[in-house]
Amino acid sequence: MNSFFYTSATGWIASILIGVEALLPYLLRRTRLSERLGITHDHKQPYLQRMWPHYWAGCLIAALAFAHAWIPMSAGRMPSTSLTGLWLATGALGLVFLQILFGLFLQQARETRRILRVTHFWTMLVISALVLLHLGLNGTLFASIRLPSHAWLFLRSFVL
Amino acid sequence: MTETKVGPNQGRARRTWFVLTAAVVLLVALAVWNSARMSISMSAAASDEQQFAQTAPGTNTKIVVEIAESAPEGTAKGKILQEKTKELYTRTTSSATLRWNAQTKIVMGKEADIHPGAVVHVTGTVRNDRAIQTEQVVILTGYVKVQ
Repeated sequence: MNSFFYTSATGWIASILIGVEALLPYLLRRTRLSERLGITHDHKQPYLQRMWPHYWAGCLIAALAFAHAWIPMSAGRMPSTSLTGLWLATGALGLVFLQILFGLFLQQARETRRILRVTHFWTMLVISALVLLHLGLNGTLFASIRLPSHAWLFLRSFVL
Repeated sequence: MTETKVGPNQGRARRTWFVLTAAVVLLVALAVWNSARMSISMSAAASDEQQFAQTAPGTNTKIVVEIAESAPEGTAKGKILQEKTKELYTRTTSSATLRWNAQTKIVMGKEADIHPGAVVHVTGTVRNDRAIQTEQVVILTGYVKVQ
């Protein structure tokens, strides 16, 4: 059952880190959120230099997501689970790697900076949505929640 | 010796960062704990067919069953499986009847996953009719192999 533990733990840690990753740029620059939290006074370095936790978390997410997919595949066994959820997760994994590329280009971009930032932002939203759907369709925590069967059918009818 | 003075704003910023970091660490710890708890419930020791046959009514038992037939009113019948390795089970000749209700905790899946062919690890009490009134059913389908 070790493969279950590692699959589950890497998946949950990656999900938490995706939330942290999305939040970090709003904490590391002067925004309404960072001002309310009183962390704008800590900003001494330029913005792109302050973003180092965002860069490292991005790479960590990619590594954890890859491990999360690799462990059950290499074990050669998969529980009976939604194939749609797995395809959505595969899409999210691909987008995570693409998102790292967008982030790397963003560090150097001058003229295309605005369009890259918009793309980076929307990719983040799509990844988050895909991960939430994957959790709902394949996650053991949500599968254990007792919802009336028609409620599950209603929820699943959106994606199947 | 130089002394670094920390202003009130800087102090507040540090405290906020500390709280945010602690919240993330706590969430990660909870995730790991939950994964470990689930993993342990999946590999909890189960009785073999002989031990189950000797279990007196009213006694708590744990067995792994491959469901052969299930009914919508909360009953299922199946063959008792014997653990060979953590992820490999063999069929025995003994059968068991499972009963569950709204109080039964279903882990790693839902009631609809208790269908013919499903592999479940059950914890429950042996009734007078030798059926098991389940307290917890862990869906192992796909995680273990049956020979």
